[in-house]
Amino acid sequence: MNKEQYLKQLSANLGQLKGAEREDILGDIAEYFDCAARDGQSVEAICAHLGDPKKLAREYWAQHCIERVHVKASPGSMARALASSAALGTINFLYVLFVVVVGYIVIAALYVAAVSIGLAGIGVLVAGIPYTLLMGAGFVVATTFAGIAVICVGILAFIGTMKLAGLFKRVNMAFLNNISNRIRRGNNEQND
Amino acid sequence: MNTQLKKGVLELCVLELLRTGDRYGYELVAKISRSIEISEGTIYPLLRRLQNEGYMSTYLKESSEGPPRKYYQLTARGEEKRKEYLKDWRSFVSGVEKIVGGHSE
Repeated sequence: MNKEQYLKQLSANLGQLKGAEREDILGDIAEYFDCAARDGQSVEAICAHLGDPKKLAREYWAQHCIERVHVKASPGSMARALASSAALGTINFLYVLFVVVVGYIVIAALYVAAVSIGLAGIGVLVAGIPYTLLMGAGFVVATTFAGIAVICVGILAFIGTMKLAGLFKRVNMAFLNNISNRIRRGNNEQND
Repeated sequence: MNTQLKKGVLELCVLELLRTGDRYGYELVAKISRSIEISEGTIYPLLRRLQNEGYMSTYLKESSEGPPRKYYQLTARGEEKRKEYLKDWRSFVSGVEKIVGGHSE
């Protein structure tokens, strides 16, 4: 592998790293190649010292993803940080799959359930109206109260789900801080 | 030496090398890999992180041989971090020495 091939492979594996950051990384490694060559090292030796370009790219990418989470903690940025760390072998991929994916599915399901309860309440409210003539005003009052009660349950469920999602996010953040420290400490023996 | 342990002290090594003056990437990497057996590819992402965390700043400087090089400079924050790491390292080494010291093999 020569310098151009190495940089090409590195670039191809830098994921969605964009613009200046990508240029900067490629520039650093290109500079290393030039300096080492001037120092009398062979291209083969330089490539061997730098290691697999894919692995180097994964390390840069994981680092970038974790930095993003500290800038903006969203489900997307967290999922990317976890996935990139899993690719590095720093964390267990099963954790990512199980806790994050299942966790978000559960939260999404709870939101759907809460909204459904709310809609059911509205349904009860509206459905009662046509029966006014048939069943009398008392029935409508009853369905209205029942409808409002069900809507309230839906709203409470929604708020509860929001709190749960917030807690899940905090737990994930704590976990990410932990793994970012582990990346810092280089807990990716599997790939070495 | 265990990779995990080695990588842990790399940050200290980089900051310590910058204490006596600014250095360019290859210089840092070459100096470290001469003393510690580690892949050069491990040090580059670390340089980037130390820079992003504000422990070092960079600037380009013309070189007599070839294109300009990126130099790394220790910031005030980096200097604080260096002292902190050095303290941690010293206490770690003296702790281990207390246990393993005093006998050979």
